[in-house]
Amino acid sequence: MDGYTSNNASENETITLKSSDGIEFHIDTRIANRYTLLNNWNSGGTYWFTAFKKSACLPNVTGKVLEKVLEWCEHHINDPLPNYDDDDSRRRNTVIDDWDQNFLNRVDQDMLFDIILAANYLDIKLLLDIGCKTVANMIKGKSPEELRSSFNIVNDFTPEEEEAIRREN
Amino acid sequence: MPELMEKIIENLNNEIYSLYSCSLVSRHWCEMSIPILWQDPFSYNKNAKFISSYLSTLNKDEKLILKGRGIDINLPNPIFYYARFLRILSLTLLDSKVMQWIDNIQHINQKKNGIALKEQIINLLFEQFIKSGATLHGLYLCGNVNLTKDAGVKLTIEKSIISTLESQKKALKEILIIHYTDYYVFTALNNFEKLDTIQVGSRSTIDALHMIKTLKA
Repeated sequence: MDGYTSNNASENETITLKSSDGIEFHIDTRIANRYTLLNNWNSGGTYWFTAFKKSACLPNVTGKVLEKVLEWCEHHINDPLPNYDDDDSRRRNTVIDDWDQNFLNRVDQDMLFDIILAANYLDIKLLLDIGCKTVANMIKGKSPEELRSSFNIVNDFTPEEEEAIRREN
Repeated sequence: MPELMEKIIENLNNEIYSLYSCSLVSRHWCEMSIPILWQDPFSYNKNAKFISSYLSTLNKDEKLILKGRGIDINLPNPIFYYARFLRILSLTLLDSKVMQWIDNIQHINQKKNGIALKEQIINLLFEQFIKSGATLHGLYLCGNVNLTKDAGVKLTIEKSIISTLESQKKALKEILIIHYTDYYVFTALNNFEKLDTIQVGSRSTIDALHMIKTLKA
């Protein structure tokens, strides 16, 4: 369950996030409060974020990617929190809100993948969902050869395996 | 980002052509997309060829039963145990796809014992779904399924349905029973852990479901 304690934080309060390449971002505390990982940083591991320090390092996210992730978070700062207790399958489709669609269409494929990885790492479920949906839309309608080329994947089937998959499906 | 590909491909759960393409990209993509492709094959597939993939995993004795009825299943073991991936089972679609499959392979042979053969295959498939450990989310027993008049075979199908219900107490979320009057099936409708919806319509109230209930276990 996402933590949400915006009632305890004023709009002026900020915390500092430092990217892997040393770029600092000063963000509204309400953004940090929306996401589980940001709330749990003080609970151990390499990362820490406490009420005393009010800052955290993100060794896995570059400044360029963090800037995009925070742009998304800021746009969605006042959204109602989704209920993730719902069955996952109900969220599975490829429909994406217009602003989000536009936001992700403006980035190249490498950046899109980096945003998805960062959203996964930072436990920002909604951004992870729409990122995955965007990639799913890129898969739609493509042949196996086109998919290998788009996603840089090597065909590791033996000819017999490939033939069997075609025969059985 | 292989670790997130599964989550990405799950979004394609009703894009059959795309999932089929994914299954031919690489071994990893294949392992992620095949389970989704086989969740509801009776609705997805226009032809009935896929029934062969199920039947090719039958054991020797089961194949002998079919051989006795003129059907020789002589295919290599399939790459996946497809029955395990089933999530939705509709008796009507199962019935029509098996009939279609028989029609396709019996074009040379004399079409004898059609209904009895169909019932036999339906029973073997039911057994396979139960044995495989598939976790069904939806079971639909509805429509005018042309069940045999042979009381023995009919009883076996009813037993299969009840066994399916009994084996899916922890998984089934939706059960639909319309135009299906077997009393014993109703006795198996209890103690489902995840059941959201059960719809029951009887032959006497063809135009309306006389009971729509939402049950939470």
